[in-house]
Amino acid sequence: MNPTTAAARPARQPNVSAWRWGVWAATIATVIPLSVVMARSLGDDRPVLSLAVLGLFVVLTTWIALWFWIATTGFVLAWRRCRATASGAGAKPRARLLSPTAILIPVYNEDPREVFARVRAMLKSLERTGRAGSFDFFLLSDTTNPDIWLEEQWHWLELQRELKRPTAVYYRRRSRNAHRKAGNIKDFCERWGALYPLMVVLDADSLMDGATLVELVRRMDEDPQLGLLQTPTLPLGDRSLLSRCQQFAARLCGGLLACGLDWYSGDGGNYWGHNAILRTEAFTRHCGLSDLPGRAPLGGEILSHDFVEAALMQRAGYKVRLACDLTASYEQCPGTLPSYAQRENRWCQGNLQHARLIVSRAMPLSNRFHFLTGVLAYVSAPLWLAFMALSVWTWLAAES
Amino acid sequence: MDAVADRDTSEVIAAPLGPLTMALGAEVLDDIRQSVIALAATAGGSQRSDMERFASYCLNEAARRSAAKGGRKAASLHDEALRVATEACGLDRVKAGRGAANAHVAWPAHDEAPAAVRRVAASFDSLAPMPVPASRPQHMPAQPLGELPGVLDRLWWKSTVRLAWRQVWGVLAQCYACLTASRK
Repeated sequence: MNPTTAAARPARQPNVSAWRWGVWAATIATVIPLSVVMARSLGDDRPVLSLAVLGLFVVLTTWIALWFWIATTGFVLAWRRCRATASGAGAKPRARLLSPTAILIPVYNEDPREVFARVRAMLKSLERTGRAGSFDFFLLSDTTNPDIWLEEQWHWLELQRELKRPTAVYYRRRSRNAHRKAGNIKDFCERWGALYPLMVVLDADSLMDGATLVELVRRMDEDPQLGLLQTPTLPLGDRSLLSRCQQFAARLCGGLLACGLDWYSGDGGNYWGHNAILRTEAFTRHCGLSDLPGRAPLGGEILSHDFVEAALMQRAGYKVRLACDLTASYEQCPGTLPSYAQRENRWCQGNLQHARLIVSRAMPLSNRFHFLTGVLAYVSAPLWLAFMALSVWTWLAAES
Repeated sequence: MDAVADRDTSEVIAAPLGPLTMALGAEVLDDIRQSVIALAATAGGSQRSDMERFASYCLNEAARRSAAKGGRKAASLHDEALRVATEACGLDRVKAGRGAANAHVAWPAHDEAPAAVRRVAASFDSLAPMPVPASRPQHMPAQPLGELPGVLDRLWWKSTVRLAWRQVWGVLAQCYACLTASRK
């Protein structure tokens, strides 16, 4: 397979393509009558202006309608899964052995008390499952603040004294922070990746239940073609109004969207950079990142590496799935608007970098959809502003 | 010291602290470490991370020297560490350093110096909780991203933003003009 001339086409589930066309048909059936009503309300006075408003309306409404139908599909699937779970269907026997799995926690100037508190919580949860022996934690520190670095070492030494199995938690600090988190993970893969068939990538503020971790490993062991299994994350932790709003929205809508997206994507799912399990050898061999041509902000080092790594994994012939039924997977959300804006600023640049990858024939089609989703998540805001401004202008022109 | 500074933290803290912690206890080592850090501060050190690594180096070297002295009467590990620190810093203030730290080594009272030195040497060579497992290096190659459309990057970004801002500003100005005209 030549990755530069043809995208890999991994085997798809038989009915997914037909149902995807159904979703698009429903989307078009929703957008067309709305567009007709909009066109009639615009009038013929200023055709260029009216055309611009209509064009923006069609683009924006199509995107909303598409996700509405995906969420609706997710609702139906989640309801059917609830009924199946209640009836006891789908229960699977436990595997005898689990593959050795590394749990990676990249850390960058985080509060060591909270990081190690989460590690302790996950260790205890794993011990309750009786499978803790299959997991090793790796705290991969890129901390640059010397005080935080020393505190990390102290907390690690304290944890070592508490643990029954001292080798359960390892600590490594890079002296040079090359390529940020992606480089941090790459350093692990190059040094210890050969020791662990599977690795779970978390963020410093991530938390996962032990049973969920065990189930992730079990599913990876049962399907050798599964290269990456992402869990949908629920925000938790902070109690500010912004955090509570995010937590509420995620609880209300997140599960439905995850189910719908999992179904829509099939084996061409996406990776969100954390709370996911990956096949280490496949990741090391096929998911190394190269820089985008050109300079920043749209070229150079890829900031949002997760989307690209998922595309590379699928291009290599592995499945990338979303485990929408595993809900005990959490992360902390920004509690204040400035911290939220700071994170969004970083994500905005990272997602806009993917714009050029949408037209790259070396990327699988399903992952190009994820790239488009990421780009539109940020481009839609100025498009909405333009739509509202042009609409007001059209109305004022008509009034005058 | 430069070689130590460039290595990962894992290697720096594993070598001296692990075995010495097992031999003497963390509190004793902390006392010695604080004495060395105080000496380094006197010599002009300011970065705590550098002084912590310097202290680790001095402990390591002191343990090696104590083990190397064999059957001869060995100085206490504390004095040895301060001696190493003094030499590294170019100072000759062992007594001042000890006085500043106000610390002492809780050495076992009934053990003779050679036995204590042998214990330090043995613990130095023994296995200790290592921060990282032995590595098995492999290469993670960068993958091609395919043919990508060229853009002028920074120039394109700046010109696009400037153009878009002019259009938006023009639209807003016209909206305001229409609004004021309609009020009249």
